[in-house]
Amino acid sequence: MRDALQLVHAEPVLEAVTGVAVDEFVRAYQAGVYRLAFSILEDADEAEDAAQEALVAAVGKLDGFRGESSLRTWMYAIALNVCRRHLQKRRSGQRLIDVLQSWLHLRGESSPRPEEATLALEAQSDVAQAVRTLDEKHRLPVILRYYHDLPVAEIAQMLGISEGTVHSRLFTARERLRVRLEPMLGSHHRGDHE
Amino acid sequence: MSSRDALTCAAARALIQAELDRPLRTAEAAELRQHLGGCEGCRGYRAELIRVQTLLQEAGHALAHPPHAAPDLAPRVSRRMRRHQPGRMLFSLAQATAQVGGLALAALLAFNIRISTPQPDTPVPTTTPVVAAPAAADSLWTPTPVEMRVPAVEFEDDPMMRREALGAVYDETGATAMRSLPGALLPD
Repeated sequence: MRDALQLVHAEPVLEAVTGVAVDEFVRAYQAGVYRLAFSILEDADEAEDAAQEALVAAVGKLDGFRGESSLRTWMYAIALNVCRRHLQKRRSGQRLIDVLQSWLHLRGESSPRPEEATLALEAQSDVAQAVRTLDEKHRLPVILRYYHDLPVAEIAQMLGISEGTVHSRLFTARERLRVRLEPMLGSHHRGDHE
Repeated sequence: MSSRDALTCAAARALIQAELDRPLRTAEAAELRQHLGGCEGCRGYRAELIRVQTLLQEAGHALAHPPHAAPDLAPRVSRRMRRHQPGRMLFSLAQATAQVGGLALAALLAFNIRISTPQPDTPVPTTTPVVAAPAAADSLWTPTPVEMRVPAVEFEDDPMMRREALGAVYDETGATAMRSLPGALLPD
């Protein structure tokens, strides 16, 4: 497949916007962007919205792309920011629900989200649940590293942090997950002595 | 940790962690190998971390590759990009302004109709409600109900009077008006 960047930069963006180039660009990245959004948001509809939002933003900003990273890294960085905004909105919404529930004394009666119910993958869902308990700072590097098999250097560019910081966050995240997932780690010797 | 070991367990574990993200340099790999040869705790730690990594990759595969196909977003993105072009933006702005204006007008009309329509379910008082009226009749007049106890008026069955009583009737001075309430004043 031809490089989507060349396709879009071959003509002014506004022309490209209505042309075949944008379609090709979107089709080249939509699956990856959607998968990234789904792995972070874990909701098909929300992931679709986020992917669309990210692609629209990327196409609109293509003329500002300086080639300092690969186009994929740049595209994923935009998608990550969109997903973060969705997570923030979700947290705000959840806070509101918590407040209303506390007012109405309904705490503890909420049902699990349907998309979580459909993700009943037994052991895998335990691992996914353990990952969900990590704070965003540690969760995103784990998702990018293990769910999307991205190298540390690319993760650092996407998140706008140094490679050392990515290593450090992955170190902390793996330590926490090792403790949390201990029952699933078999009969290995607990290596927690100095 | 053996006596000839150059690594502490902490340093060995840092290398074990690093090994998961990058290939170790030859010297690092040799040092770690030597340490692991004599430290069961760090061997267990390494095995656990490799297991964590495997579990994460397996779970991640399910989440990063959902069973449903990714939607084709190209048509929608193209549509949205076209909408964002400058000409379209001006058009959208005009459209939005017209919509807001229309909504405001509709709200105003609805409010006006609501305040000037007698409520059919209003209970009939035993005394006649008399409402203070402004000097000039006005469609935007907001009535201020004032409860005044006045004796009920007996009407003769006069068709003219009946017709007038069905609407707002002003007395000769125009200072007061009686609002007709169906059946309140007029005998059939």
